[in-house]
Amino acid sequence: MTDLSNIRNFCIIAHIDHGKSTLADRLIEYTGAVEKRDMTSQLLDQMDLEQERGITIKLQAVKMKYFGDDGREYLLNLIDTPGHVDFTYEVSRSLAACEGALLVVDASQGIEAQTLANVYLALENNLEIIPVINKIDLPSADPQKVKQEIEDVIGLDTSNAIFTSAKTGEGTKEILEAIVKCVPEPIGDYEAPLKALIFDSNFDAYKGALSYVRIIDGSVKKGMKIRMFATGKEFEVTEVGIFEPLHRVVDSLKAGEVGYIAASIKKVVDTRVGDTITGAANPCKEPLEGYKKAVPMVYCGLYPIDNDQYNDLKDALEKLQLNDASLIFEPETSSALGFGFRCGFLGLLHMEIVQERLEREYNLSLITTAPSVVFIVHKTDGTILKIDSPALLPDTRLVEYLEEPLVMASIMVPQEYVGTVMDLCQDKRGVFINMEYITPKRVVLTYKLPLGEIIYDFFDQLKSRTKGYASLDYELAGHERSNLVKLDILLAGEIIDALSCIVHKDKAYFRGKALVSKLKKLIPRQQFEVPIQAAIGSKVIARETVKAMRKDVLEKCYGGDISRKRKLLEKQKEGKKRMKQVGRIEVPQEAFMAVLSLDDE
Amino acid sequence: MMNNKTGIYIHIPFCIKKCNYCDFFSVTQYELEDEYFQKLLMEIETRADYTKNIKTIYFGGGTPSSVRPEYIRKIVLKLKEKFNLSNLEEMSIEVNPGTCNNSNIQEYWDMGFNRLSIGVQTFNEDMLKKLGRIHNKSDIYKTIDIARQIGFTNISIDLMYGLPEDNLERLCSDLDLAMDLNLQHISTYGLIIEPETKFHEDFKLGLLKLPNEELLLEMREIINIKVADFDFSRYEIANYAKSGFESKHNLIYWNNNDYYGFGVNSTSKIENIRFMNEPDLNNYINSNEFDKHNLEELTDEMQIEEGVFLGLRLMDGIDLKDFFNRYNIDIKKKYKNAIDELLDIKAIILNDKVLKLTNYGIEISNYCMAKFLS
Repeated sequence: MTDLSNIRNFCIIAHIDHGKSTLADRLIEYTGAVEKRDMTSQLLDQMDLEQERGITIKLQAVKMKYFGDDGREYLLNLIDTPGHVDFTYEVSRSLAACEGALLVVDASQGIEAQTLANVYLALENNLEIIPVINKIDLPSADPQKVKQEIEDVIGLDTSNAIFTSAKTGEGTKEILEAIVKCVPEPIGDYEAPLKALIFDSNFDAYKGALSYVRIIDGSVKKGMKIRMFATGKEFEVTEVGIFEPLHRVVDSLKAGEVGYIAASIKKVVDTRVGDTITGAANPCKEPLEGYKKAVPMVYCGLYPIDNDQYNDLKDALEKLQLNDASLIFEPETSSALGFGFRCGFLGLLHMEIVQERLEREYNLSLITTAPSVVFIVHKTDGTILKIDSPALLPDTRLVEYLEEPLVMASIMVPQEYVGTVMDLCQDKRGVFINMEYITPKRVVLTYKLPLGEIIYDFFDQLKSRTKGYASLDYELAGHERSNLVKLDILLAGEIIDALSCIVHKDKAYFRGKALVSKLKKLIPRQQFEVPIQAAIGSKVIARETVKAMRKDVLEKCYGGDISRKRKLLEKQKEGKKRMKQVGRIEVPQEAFMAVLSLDDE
Repeated sequence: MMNNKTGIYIHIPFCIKKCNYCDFFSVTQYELEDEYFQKLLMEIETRADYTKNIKTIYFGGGTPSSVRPEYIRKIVLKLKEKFNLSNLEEMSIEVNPGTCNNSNIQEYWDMGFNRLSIGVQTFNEDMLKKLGRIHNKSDIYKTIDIARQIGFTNISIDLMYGLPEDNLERLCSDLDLAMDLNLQHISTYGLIIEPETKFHEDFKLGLLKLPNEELLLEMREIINIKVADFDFSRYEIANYAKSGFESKHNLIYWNNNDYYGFGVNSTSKIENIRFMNEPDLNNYINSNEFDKHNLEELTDEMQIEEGVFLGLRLMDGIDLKDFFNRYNIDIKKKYKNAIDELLDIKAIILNDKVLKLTNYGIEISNYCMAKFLS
């Protein structure tokens, strides 16, 4: 046995904006893991996108050295967690790699649904939880109230709660002391066969797919043969290292420690989050519990605006997939959009991130079709079909009925908004399950809702109708039969497959009308009249017309105007490049997502 | 890509009052007149090139007729000294009827101006007030009378349409009155609500009731029909002239020829270089240099594209042979896709000799021209 008593593995649980990244920065700065001059703000969020959106997408880990008040030197491993419902599974695996968690709650906002869900996950994993009440420097801060709330809502003993301001650095040392004192040391058997939990993976251009691991038992070092439990694949370790937070090569990783393993693994798919790594020569008997294969919940079509970019898009998706095992894609053809890919994502945020990265990092101009969920089609001949795109729905005469995926959603909301939220859930075809006052002022509503409704504008609506006070968490709750129909959109008489959607029959009329009038606003005037129709089967339920463009002329053009005129024409031309030519009609990117924002009207 | 017709534009940035629709560069600080013209003389002195074959001179603004005529005279003398004007064909000055009298018009004539461009805008008294013009209807008649008596035989007026609460009746009445005057040239502009104008403020507040697109199209149609009855030909999108009275200076722009712009905020294009002068009046007056702003080095490609979109503004269109001789480009080949597309929607006419816009093509000319950009 080696001495594990100076190691502490912990993570931070926090709602978006409650200051997790800033707090992590303070801890790193205090312990000197990174030179002050190398500190970029929010060190853990490395992707530009992460810093911009203020969220963690890709996990990071960092090892810090801390001299405790007791005079001993401690090694603290901070394992970051993504703060979004799309990545709940990733969070659960990071939690499983730790013995303790800092629960960071904003001193003026209080607990949010997402935080609550993650705290429960942490409690399931038997983590020691240290409540940290952050942003006490804000004028609106009420740390005592929030402390009481944590006690009431979670039932957590908050006598050890720490008041802090990650912004000013107040409370940083107290947090580090609390980690040392409260978080249990890891327990592991150094002599036992290797058993390591993959809590994340990352692709390195030189070393291949890296497994970010917590060693539970045994040890691993260069040259050792390892085996992945889920796939049975074996690899030879080429390097092991730790996070400082930049990678540093070490001789070996032992039970209780956190680090990375490089083993010339070509794809991150072969080092799956939640899987167990063991030794090929002397494997452990059982894998760790809790491994799940990532299942996409949301699908959409991605098409290059310029058909010549098809291969570039394919390459870019393949590159992204190297680092994102939960992204799946396969070729798809649309009569309106040409050749593209059907892509599956963990959720809407995941989808947006992939889309943005493709456009930004790979310089692609894309059309994204409205997201769809997976429907189960029961055909009249008794066969069952799973479809992830409305275009794949067979002729209605061949369909007995459809099933759609549902989620169990918990919505945490101040009591004055309960009525508003219930209305919204009702609107979105929700079935009321439960209502619970967790404090006299805060309510958790539980609804069973169609996932298809959630991925439309549910979250935006929830936020806007509750002035941002409501928070949402959900988990999949199976498929159920539902009265669904396919709504087709026709431009100039032609069905545009990429605009079709599957909607509940009771809403089809409203959706069709709203969609058609939205499209009328989005589709610019062409040189000819463009009728827009919504239809169910052969029945047209709504119609609008985009009138032909009649006048677009600059009458004054003299010496000083020519340069300006040129820019105007260039802009006009550029605008066209962002449009997809569908038959004779130029359709802007936004039109394909129009169905998502219908309720703005 | 050589061409040997060069024009000179002189910018006079002073106005007695800014009109409600105007976003042209102008100020009301006449106390800066003296310093401004000093600087302008210096600029001409510095930048002039006696080897250039100057065809036209154009004084625009602002309101050139609102400054003391002696300043205009000094500039004209300086131009005569520094440029070869032996082939000069046209010398124009813009005047506002509210600032014209016997003496300044006589002076312009004496200095050698042979064309007046009068900012009439409308004959309708109410509309003149609404536009914030400083003149009334009788000022227009007075100015034209004076100019004729002095000897001007090439007079142009500007008219506007598509004004707030505009209608066909008002436009027809303007056109009738304009035709009665038996002038040589008319420019007609639909109102555009430009940012940072009084009208833009009003527009944002919902105070301007502007004609819809259908009415605007009808108005342009009526202009085309009415002036044609009086021997005016439309030779450019917004310009009509009796035979031989087309604006030679403005044709320099549309034929993509060279021009000097002297004075604050004016643009020059000499061969493949285009730039703007200092746009701020105080900076223009006070700086010791004549800085070139927004300097563009026009590539062959840009010159060709501009040759096309400027050429399409002219009703005669682009002469394919001339274009080939000048740019060494076969338009038909180079722009085959754009041409096919535009022929398909009947926006252009193409034959062995010319490429030109149809009436429909003119109304959607931005759309058409954009097709020729790379």
